[in-house]
Amino acid sequence: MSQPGRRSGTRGKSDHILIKGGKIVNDDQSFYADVYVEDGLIKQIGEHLVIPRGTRIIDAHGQLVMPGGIDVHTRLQAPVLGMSSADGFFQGTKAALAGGTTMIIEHVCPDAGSSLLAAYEQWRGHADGQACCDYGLSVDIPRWHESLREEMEALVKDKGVNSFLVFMAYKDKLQCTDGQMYEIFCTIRDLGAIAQVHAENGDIIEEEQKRLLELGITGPEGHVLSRPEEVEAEAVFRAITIAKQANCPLYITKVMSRGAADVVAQAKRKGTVVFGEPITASLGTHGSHYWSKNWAKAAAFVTSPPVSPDPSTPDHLSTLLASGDLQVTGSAHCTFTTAQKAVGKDNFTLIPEGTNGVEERMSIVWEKCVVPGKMDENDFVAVTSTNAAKIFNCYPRKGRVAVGSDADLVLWNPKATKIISAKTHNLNVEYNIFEGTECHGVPAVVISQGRVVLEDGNLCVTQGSGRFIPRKTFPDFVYKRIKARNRLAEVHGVPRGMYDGPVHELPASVKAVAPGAGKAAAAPVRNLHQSGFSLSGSQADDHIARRTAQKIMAPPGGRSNITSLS
Amino acid sequence: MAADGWRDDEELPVYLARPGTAAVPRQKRGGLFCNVEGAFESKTLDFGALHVGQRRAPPPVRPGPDPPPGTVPGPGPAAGDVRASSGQEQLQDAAPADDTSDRLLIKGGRIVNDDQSFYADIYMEDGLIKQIGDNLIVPGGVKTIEANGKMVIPGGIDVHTRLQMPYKGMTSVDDFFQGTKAALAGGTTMIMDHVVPEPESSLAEALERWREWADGKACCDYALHVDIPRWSDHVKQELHAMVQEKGVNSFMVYMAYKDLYQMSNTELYEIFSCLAELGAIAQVHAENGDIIAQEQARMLEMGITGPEGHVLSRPEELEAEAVFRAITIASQTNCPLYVTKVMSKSAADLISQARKKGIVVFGEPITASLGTDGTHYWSKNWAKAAAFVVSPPLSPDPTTPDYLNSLLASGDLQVSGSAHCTFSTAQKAIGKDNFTAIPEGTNGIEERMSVIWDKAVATGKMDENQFVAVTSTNAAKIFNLYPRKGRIAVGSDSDLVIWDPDAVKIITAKTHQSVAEYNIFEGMELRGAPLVVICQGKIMLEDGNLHVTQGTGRFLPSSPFPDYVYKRIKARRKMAEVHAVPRGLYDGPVFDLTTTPKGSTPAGSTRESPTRQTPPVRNLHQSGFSLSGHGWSCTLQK
Repeated sequence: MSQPGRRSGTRGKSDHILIKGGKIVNDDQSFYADVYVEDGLIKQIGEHLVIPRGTRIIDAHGQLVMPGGIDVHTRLQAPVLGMSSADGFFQGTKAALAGGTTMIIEHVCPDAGSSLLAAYEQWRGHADGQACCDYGLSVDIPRWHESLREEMEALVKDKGVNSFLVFMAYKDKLQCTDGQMYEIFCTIRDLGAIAQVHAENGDIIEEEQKRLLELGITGPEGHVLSRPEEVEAEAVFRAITIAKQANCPLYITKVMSRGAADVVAQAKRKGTVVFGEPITASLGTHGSHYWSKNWAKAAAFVTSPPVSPDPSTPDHLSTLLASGDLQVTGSAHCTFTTAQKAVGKDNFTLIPEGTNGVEERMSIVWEKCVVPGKMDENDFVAVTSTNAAKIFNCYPRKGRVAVGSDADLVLWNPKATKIISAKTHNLNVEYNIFEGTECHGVPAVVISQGRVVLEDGNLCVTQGSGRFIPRKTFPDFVYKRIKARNRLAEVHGVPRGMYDGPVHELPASVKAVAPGAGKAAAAPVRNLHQSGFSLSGSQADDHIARRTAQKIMAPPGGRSNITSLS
Repeated sequence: MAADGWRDDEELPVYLARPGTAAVPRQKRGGLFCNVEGAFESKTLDFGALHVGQRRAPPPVRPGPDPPPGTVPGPGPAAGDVRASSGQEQLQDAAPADDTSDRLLIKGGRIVNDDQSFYADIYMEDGLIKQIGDNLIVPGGVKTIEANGKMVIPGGIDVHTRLQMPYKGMTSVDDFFQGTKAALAGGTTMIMDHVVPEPESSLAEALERWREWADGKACCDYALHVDIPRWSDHVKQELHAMVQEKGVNSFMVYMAYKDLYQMSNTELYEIFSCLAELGAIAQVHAENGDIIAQEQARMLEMGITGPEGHVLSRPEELEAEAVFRAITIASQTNCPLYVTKVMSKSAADLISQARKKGIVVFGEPITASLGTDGTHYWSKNWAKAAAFVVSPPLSPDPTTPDYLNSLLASGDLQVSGSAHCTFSTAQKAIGKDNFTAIPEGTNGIEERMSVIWDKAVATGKMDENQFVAVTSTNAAKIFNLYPRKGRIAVGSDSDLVIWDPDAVKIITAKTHQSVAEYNIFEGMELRGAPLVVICQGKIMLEDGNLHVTQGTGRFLPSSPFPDYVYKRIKARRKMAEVHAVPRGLYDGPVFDLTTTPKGSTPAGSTRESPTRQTPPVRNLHQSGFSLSGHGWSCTLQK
């Protein structure tokens, strides 16, 4: 595990920063105060702070001082078909910081059948050397087998991982069956971790893909046609059912469609512990671009579940995000260059999946939710940072501006505007799916680990300065309810006397006796009925007696409804 | 004269008059009223009478009617008296009015179809309804049933029975004779039974076997659904043959019973696609078998072996989940879906939601789910608890029956079955130490009509027309038997029930027709019962006596592409065509997969790999390649 401050020596600038005159925005309240930061931690909050000399003072008048964003879902290092996504940890975290995100949770994708621990170490290796901001890791479970249980336990207990993702799509590669999901969810619940799902019905998708390819549809529009949103909603519903059955907290990654979001919202209303994560792409754009005549552009939108072709979807999702039915936002940032995407130029199923969004996330959420008045700045902090920190158990270290928290701060300028364009973004890809979107509200200053990394539009990042943030199990935000339910969920058998009535003897030859057996069975049955056998045990026969009595005694119109008896 | 006759009819109903004293001057042939030969063939309804109670008020049929002065009340309850015709009619026709006559006249009934109710007489011959109207001209020797204003409804159609079902070498105790007898006793004149082939065996053979059983025993008409236990290309061919030649238009698949019948999503998709092509109905047993298997193992581990384990291992969420999945797959394949045994609120809700989204889906609650609830699984009496074991289980939520009845009334659920599949207590007891071995099935074939009347019509949730729709007409429409079944109309089969809404019956195993020792509705007091049941033009039930003949039931082939279901499906099929986007060929750079060593992903793409890839990436970006034929900038989002 990384020790905080291990690389303190590499920090060039002064560690002492005072943010003056800003409005501090947490998820619960906003207030005016100064913030004093030292050694990567917030040391003081208040007015007229006593600070050492040489402290760097940042003027924050007219700006909002918020906890840095937490991007709950990135795949900066996703291996697909032997390719690696175009933005590595360095480029990806740089873009994150440029957009006001100071922590990412990256998904480790082990190869099917390989060791989770090995993959974890490999990701740690990539990230420790390259990441410019703090990061956590979530581990994907590509194919379930019993031996993974020990590895999961090791990851949870020793490696600071508290979330695992299972796939309901990608048939024959990553997909889990319902039974496996149940087992995984039970394991996760026992470990106190969070179960994440990629929710799409892989079986149907495969059939649809075949059908579309047969029809000669090979372009990116085939991607969205083969993955209709019903298929996503179905899987979400199923995942929720299984999670509820296993009493495991569930986290739906990439909520892309109305149907899926509604299912999540309904399940919450029924009391299920479920969280939904819309991503930058689903909040900021829609899937009509799959029909673009420009193949490269259409391919840039390819992600799974696909961006919904319904143009009202972003609006709907941002409404649900504002109302609390969806809780966190990720980016699912996983970019491929056009050349990489072009691997699937003749077959949409081969197009590597993933869109950008790590840099745009905060601005898009602000633009879609805060600017139209759907949520206030506090809700904004909640969905971009605090909720994520709570769910993944790094609160209040992250996700809050408070004394003792990490000095990951964003000075948000709600008045500035920015137009998103591939020309100016900090990514390695040629296309930006939000191309041309105007955002009112951008980060003016970003402070990560107590150091200013973005100021006046200039990024100043250090490769490898990002620390791994180990996350503990049993997050209170999630597990308090689960624990209570675990206690309640115990079921008991009914204490009955032994059944000592006649038992039908199964014939030795099971097959092809049905017609004859029917008659043979019927005769003894009648006799049994008249023999009036009774059950041993005291309660058993009083039940019968009551019922029988009622049968005989109850006059027409009298009380005789059997449902009132037991 | 005509007017006089009319008035006489009204003032002195025939049924109240003693034979010979009533003025029934109706002459059959050569009389004043019958100057046109064959007039009845195009006999139309008296539209004035369509408006119930407007012109021609019904004869007094209220409970305990005061007989009009000067008449002699018939002995006992007058309604539903069946008499041989007397008087003049006999003079016309020499044929003796014996009981075997297949000519029947129902007089003075209120005909209830799913769309309207009206007063008219019904004349039946040869098992068909020949005439409907007032003052029918009928041949002599006609047996007349006085309905006295009682409702005459199309006989019930039970869409889901499993009579004589083989299970683990046993057979359910009610065979086709006993089962159909019970059906007739309850006012159901047609059943649709499920053929359950052994996995790996031929569907056609199983169908033949069922046909043999049923033809020899059934007392009422029947049709067959075929369950698909396994999916293969061979089965696909068989389906084809069955739809085209064998008169089966609905097939059922299971989403539960893991490792036995359960179908994967892929198989469901293929089956639904196949059925949609054939014009058949896809039925599903909707429960998530994977999770059930897990839960069952957990329950048994915890030491729960009694029938309560059955319901605990099959919570209603699992039913709802499977319903949702089935609907998704059906909508994806554009196949009409029929969910059998809707047992829980949440499953029913999903069906009604899906219908609101325009998906072609039908839901079938069963007698058990409409009439009782699952609290009995916790009964201390093992035999009683076991009698309720059915899958999906009855919901332990006691408000479920009421809720399902409401949805049935509102049209969100369309048909009702019984899923009648009874096992004796001794048979159930093979699962006495392990609830998973308890054979599943409850009774309900006999109680179905009365339960719905009592729970839905008597409580004012639905009217008599909707009652007819959900017990008979909708089923006939969905399975393409309409209007032969499910409607009282000229030309339809004469499967009729004279329904007495005021009769009160207490359900008990002592008097029911089923062979089983337990009746899950034991002690329930139900309002509404059949008074007379006519099946194939013969009186099967009158005065509480059943007159059934083994083997009189006919197999009714049902043809594919029922209009009621497929008109919408066909229209959608036309709409659902998808087209590719016409694009120029992509001629930009393509990442060369072969240069990257395979399998190097975990180890090979270490720290250096992004840097190794980044330069070409950057170059590509700056090279500004464009696509053939299409402008680059014009497609940028504005």
